[in-house]
Amino acid sequence: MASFTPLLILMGLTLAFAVLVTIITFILGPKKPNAAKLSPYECGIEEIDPPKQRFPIKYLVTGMLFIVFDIEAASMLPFADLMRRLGSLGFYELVIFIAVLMLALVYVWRKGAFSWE
Amino acid sequence: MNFIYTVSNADWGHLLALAPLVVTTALTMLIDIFLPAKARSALVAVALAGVAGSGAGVYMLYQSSGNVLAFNGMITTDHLALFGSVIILVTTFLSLLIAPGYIERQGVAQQGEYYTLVQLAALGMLLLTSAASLMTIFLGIELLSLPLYILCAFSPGQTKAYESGMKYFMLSAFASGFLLYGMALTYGATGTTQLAGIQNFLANHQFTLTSGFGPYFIMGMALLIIGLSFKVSAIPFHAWTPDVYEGAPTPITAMMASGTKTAAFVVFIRLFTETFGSVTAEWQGIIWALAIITTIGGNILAATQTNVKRMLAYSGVAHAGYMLIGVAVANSLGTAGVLTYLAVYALMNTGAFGVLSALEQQIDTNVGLDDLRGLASRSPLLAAAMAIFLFALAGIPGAAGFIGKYTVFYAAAVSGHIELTIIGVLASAAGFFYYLRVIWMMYFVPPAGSSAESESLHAEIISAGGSAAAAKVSIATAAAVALPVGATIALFIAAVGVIGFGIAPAEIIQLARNAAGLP
Amino acid sequence: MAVSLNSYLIVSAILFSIGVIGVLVRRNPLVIFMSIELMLNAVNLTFMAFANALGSVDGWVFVFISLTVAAAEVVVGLAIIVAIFRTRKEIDIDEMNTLKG
Repeated sequence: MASFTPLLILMGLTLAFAVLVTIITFILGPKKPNAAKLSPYECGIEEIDPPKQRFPIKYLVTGMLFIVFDIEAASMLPFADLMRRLGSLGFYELVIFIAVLMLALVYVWRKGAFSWE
Repeated sequence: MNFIYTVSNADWGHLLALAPLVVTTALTMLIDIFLPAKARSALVAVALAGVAGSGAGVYMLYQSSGNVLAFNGMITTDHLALFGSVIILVTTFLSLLIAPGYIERQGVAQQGEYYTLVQLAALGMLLLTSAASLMTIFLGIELLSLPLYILCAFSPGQTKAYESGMKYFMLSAFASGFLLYGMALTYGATGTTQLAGIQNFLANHQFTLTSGFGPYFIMGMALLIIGLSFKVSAIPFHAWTPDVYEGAPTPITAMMASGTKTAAFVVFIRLFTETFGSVTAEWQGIIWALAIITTIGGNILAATQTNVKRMLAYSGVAHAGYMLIGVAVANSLGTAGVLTYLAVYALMNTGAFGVLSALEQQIDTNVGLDDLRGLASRSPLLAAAMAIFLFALAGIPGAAGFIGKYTVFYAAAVSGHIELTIIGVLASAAGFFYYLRVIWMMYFVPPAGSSAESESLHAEIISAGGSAAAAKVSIATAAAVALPVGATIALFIAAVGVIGFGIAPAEIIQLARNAAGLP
Repeated sequence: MAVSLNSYLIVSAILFSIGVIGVLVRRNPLVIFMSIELMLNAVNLTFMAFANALGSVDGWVFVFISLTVAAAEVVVGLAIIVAIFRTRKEIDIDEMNTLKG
C-alpha cells in the first residue's frame, strides 16, 4: 500500500485546496447581482434559446452510426500491430472485413441516413 | 505473452454451411439498394437460395470425414452441429415461405431490411450450433439476438411491436450480461476459452467449492445456466416469452420459437452434457429443478390463455421443460432425446405459427380463441393443418410430438430419473386440455357470423384466388381464409413432416442418436 | 506494488452488481441501458484481470469481441428507443403495458 500513500496525500491536498478557495470566495467576495451577471454565459452574446431544450433526433442517428464505425475502426488496430506476423492471411482477412464495412456504409448511404433533411 | 494463430487451408472448408448465407445476405442488401422497388420479389428468392445453399453445405460437411475442429478450436462441424444446423435451416426456410404474404398484408415497406435481418439471425443460430469456444458461443448468441430485437419491433407504427422489441432487447441484453460474466469466470477458473480445453482441464483437476479455482468455476457455471435458461425461456426466466411472441410479426415468432430454442439447446448440450460432463454432480441438480418447474409451470400458464399466440408461447415454455429433462439426465441418451424433440418441435411449432399468420389478416389482429370458432367449416384445410400441428404438440401417439416426448422420457427412465419421466408424462397429459380446446373450437363450435353471408363471401374469395381482395376481410367477418402460395407450401411441408415423422420415426431417431455419439 | 487479482475481481463484481441493481430499480430505458453497459464493462475488467493473471491472450480477444458487440447493442437499443419515442413521446418502462395476458 506504501506506494499509493503520496498519491492519496496529493489527492487530499487538491480537494482541500479547491474546497477552501470556494468557501473563501463565497465569504469574502462582494455580492452585487444584476441581470447581466445572472444570465448564463454564452461567449458574451445574449443567449438564443434556453439550454435545456430538446435537440433533433437526427443527431442521434448520426451518433449511432458513428459508434458502430468507430468501434469497427478500433477493431483494426490489432491488425496494424500484427500485420507483418499475420502475413497475407491477415491482409486478406482485413480486406474482407473492410469490404463488409463498405457494404454497410453504402447501404446506409443509399438508404438516406446521411442526408440531413 | 505468446499467441500462435494458424489457419490451414482445410479450415475454410468448415465454413461451407455458413458461407452461402453470408453471400446471399450481402446480395440481399445490394438488391435492396440498387434495384427498383419492383424487383422486391427477388429478395425472398435470394434468401431462400441462401438457406438452400447452406443446406447443401451441411450435406457436404456431413459426407466429409476428418477433423471436425477448425480455426484453432473456434468452430466445429461435428454431427451435433450439423443436426442442429439442419433444424435451423428448415425453420428459417418455412419462416421465409410464410413471410411474403404476411408482409404484404401488414404493409411493411422495408422488405430489404426484413430479409437481411432474417438471414443474419439464421447465421447467428448456425454459428451457435457450431461453436466450440466460449467466444464463438457469445458471438453467435449476439449475432442471433441483435437482428431479432429489430425484427420483433418490425411492424411500423405499431405500439405492440415496439414494446415487444424493447422488452426482448432489455431482458435479453440483461441475460447476455450474466452469460458473459459466467464465461469470464469459467475462463478464469480453467484458463482457456476453448470447450475442448475446459473439458480437458476439468477431467484432470480436482476442485472443491471453497478451494483453488472452485469458487470461480461454480459461480461461472451458475451464471451460464441463468443466461442460457433465459434463451430457452425456462421458468423462472420466461417472463419475456409471451409478450415478445405476441408482439412480434408471426413469421418471426415462428423462427424465434424453434430456431433460437434449437441453437440454445445445442449450446446447453455442448456446454453441460459434453464440456462439464466430468463434473455432472455440480450442475445436474439445478437443471433437474429447472426442468420440473418449467414443465409444470408452462402447462399451467398455457391453460389460462385465451389468445392463441400467447397460448403457444406458454406451450413453448412447457416444451422447453420437456427438453430440459433430456439435458438433466446428462448422458448421450438424453442428448439424442433432446435432438429428436427439437427436430419434430421445429416442424410442428413452425406449422402452428404458420396457420396463425395466415389467420392474422389485418393489422393488429391477434387470434383469440373465439376467432377460431367454426374454422373447420370455413377453411377445412387450414383447420385440418392446425389440428395436425396441435395434436403433434400435445403429443398424441402417432403424431410427431409423441416421438420427441417418448425419446426424452425414455432416456430419463433408463438413466435412473424415473421421477422426471412421471412428471413429464403427467404434465403432457394435463397439456392435452388446452390443445384440444382449440381443436374443439375449430370443429364443434359454430362460427359467430351468419352462415348465408359467409357462404357468398367464401365463393367470392375462392374466385379471387387469394388476391389482395381477400386481405381486406378481417377475421371477425371472414368466411374462408385466403392462403398465399408460399404459406401453402410451408404448411404442406410442415404437415407432411409431422405426419411422416409420426408414422416412420426410426430414421430421425437414428440420426439424432448418431449426432449424440450413440450407435 | 502490484494490485492483486482479487482486488480487480472484487471491483468488477461490485460494478456488475451496481449494473444489475440499476437495471432492476430504474425505470428510464436509457438509464437501464447504461446499467447494462456497466455490467458488460465490469465483465471486461474481469476478463482483463484473468488474462493478466493467467498470462493468456484469450481474455484480451474476448474483450475486443464484447466491446464490438456492446457497441452494436447500443445502436440497436437506441434505434428501438427512438422508434418508440416517435410514436408516444414517453419512454417510461411502466407505461409499456399493452402486452398483457
